[in-house]
Amino acid sequence: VTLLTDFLYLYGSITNLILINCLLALSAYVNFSSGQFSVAAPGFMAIGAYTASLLTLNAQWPFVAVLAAAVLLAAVVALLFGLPILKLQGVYLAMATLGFVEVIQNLAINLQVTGGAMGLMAIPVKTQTWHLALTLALLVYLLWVMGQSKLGAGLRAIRQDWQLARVLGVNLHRYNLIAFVISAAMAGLAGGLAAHTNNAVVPGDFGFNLVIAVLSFCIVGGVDRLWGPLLGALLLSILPEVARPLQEYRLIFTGLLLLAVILFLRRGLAGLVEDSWRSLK
Amino acid sequence: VLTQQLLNALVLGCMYALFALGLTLVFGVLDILNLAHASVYMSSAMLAVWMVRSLELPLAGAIPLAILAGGLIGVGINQIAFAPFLRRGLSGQAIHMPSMISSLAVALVLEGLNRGLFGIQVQRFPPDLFPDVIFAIGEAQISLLQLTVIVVTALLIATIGWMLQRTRLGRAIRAVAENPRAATRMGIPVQSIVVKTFFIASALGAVAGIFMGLTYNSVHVLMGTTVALKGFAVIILGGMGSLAGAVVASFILAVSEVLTVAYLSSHFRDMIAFGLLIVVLLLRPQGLFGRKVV
Repeated sequence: VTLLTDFLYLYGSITNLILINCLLALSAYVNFSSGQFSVAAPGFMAIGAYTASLLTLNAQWPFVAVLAAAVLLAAVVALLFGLPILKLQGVYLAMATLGFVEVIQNLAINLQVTGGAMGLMAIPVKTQTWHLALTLALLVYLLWVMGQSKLGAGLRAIRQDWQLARVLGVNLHRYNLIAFVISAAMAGLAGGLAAHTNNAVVPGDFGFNLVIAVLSFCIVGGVDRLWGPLLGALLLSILPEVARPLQEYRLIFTGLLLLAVILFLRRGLAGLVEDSWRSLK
Repeated sequence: VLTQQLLNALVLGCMYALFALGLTLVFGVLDILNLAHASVYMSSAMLAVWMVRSLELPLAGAIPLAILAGGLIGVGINQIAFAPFLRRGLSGQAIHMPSMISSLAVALVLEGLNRGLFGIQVQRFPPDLFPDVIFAIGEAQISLLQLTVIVVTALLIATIGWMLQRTRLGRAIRAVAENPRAATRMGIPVQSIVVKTFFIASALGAVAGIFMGLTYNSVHVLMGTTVALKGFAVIILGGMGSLAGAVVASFILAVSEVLTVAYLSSHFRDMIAFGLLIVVLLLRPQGLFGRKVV
């Protein structure tokens, strides 16, 4: 019986981890799909996680209200930050958003209210695995619908050729800002949910390492298709769990995989799968 | 006490400057951000400690070897992470994202290798390795090591400046930075200039890492992360690709950090760089000395 509960416990926590990683990968995808090299997702995830935990711990709000607040605050911060920052492109946007992640993490480490470097503890576990699965399914559906809409077409046009898109009357700044806010709201939601999967929220979880992880999901999976980042998140979350040596040499493995994909598979593993499928038919 | 603080800031600024010079040199020439630069910084410091401790080399032998190794690692980074894109003729915005990711990938591999080879515990040079001589300047004190850092940095900055302005290699580097295609047509061997640039830039990063390791007598596999982020802040503040800007910005950052720790709180030291980075990008993305970029 102990073995079984142990197994379920382990299995459950890995499933939760995979689902949360998928949410983050989708959040980053929304920016990448319009060619915006933003790595801000971990920062917005932190905002969501701390907002949710603090409201649960100190105000005893119901879970749904707590999550709504996490989403809302992340979105508002994204709007205020995105308004000026999205004028930047390429490496400049990447560095500004990386700076944002670091500022948020440092605030969390140094403020009293966020519990400092130890973070927040004794957060009641409220997130069930099915909450995460349902959220993911809903978001995939919403993003798919968005992809079919005028907004989605505009974002794709911006990524393919932003100069042409502008000539064709796509309001670049507004479209990118909408994408940035949606992405932040999703990361905020992921943070709020993640905060209630185990008992603690620790600032170290929302730093440079998570930036690299989320980036790897998207690049390895490919950002051409909605399911690319999901595939990347799934693979990179599962592989180290099932293969011990990969866990030990995780950095080298991730690095080599990332390198191989960026050098040889421009559309990521999703592109590879699609091409192989087409040639089979 | 203020003199002492400013002296400490000067030493810190020297190390930031050496690190940032390499980063901005590569950006100036190739228009790419080398995310593996900090791995060279860390690897060289690790190698220096290893050579002193395990091979029992004297410091005077270990340091040049570690710098050479750093330069060669840099050349390797170029071959693996950047040369493939340049060969495909990518440039400008099109190369930004893939080259950042490929250099990040190399950085991960290098960090993994260092972890595997040297472990994750803090490595230290043997005590009393560097003669423990202290000079007094008025009320302030300066150690021989700090003095060495300042003098060597000043010499290196002057040498780099002279090399770029006065030598054949320097003129070729500037020609490639200005316009690679035109440089090719003028008969400049662009590939070999790029390799040499990487060697010089990475050797500078190596010197910074070794100095940092000696100054705090602490070398760690994660030591590159903090300095990498600060390096970005510095080259943005100075203007991407501007060498003078990078040096000036390094000292601005070092002084702000040291004064913050002294008069406000050590908690917010690391936030200065990132706050600065964002503010500069918002208000003056071309930096203090840079050309307009957006």
